[in-house]
Amino acid sequence: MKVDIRELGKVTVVAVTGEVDLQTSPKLREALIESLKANTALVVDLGAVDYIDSSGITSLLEALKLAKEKKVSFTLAKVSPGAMRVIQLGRLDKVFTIVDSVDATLGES
Amino acid sequence: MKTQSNLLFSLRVPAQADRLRLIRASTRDALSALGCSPEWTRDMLIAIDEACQNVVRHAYGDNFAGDMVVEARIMGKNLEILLRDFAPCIDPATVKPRDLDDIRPGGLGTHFIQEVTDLCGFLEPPAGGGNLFRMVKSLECPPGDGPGETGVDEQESAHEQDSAPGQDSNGSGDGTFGREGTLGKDGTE
Repeated sequence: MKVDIRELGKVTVVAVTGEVDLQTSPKLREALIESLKANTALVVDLGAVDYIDSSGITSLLEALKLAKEKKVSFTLAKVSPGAMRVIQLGRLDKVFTIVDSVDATLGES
Repeated sequence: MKTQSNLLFSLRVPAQADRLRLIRASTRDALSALGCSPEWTRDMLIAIDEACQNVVRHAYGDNFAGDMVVEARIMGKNLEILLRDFAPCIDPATVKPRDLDDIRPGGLGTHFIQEVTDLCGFLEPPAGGGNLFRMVKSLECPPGDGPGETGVDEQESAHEQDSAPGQDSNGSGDGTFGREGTLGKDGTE
């Protein structure tokens, strides 16, 4: 798994590539928590995620909870079909804000 | 006449997080060779990965690393996965999916397994100890049949193996269904 963090205006974009599982999800969790320290809107690009398990979803839920506490927006973008399947299995597609592209979030701050 | 095995693969690995990717890759290759669709394969990967993850996280104590064995078999029109560990027996009643209305991290894996399999649950502990978890999913295209065949045939999916995974063929693992369905998927609850 690879995590790439970049700033796009007032938005922090965390792009995740590869497989997120029990071995790699701590790295994702750490990246999300670190990114939220900036107190700016956070977008997680899941377009290149080949696989995500419950530990990866847990990392996303923990970040969502932290973002709510900080009152900053937390959005999932370009969610791959495999990741969307797992999100839907957990009935979390109504819990997360999900958009089709990173660009769709750039108007927010 | 030589008897044809219904075993697709058997994998014995240390119950470590860094082996989960290997298990997924092996499963993906086997199911692809079988002609399963990417969507069907994806769901089965979720179930197997989450079950193995439970072993990695919970079966063995912090100071002891044990093995786990994953076996995949064709049982009639179904795929059967058996996952064995060699840890102390657990109480299956303690393995429950969480309430999805309670939005919080954790506890999702068991729910995922329930959602994507047709049958799942613990079998009686095998001879020699450990835990034996079984998952069954109806194949989309059973070998020798045309497409569109679905539905678990319990008669055909009945546990027919002579021994539990990780046990030699002289073992007495009878694989009764006494404990299966603890996760609520045996159709008897």
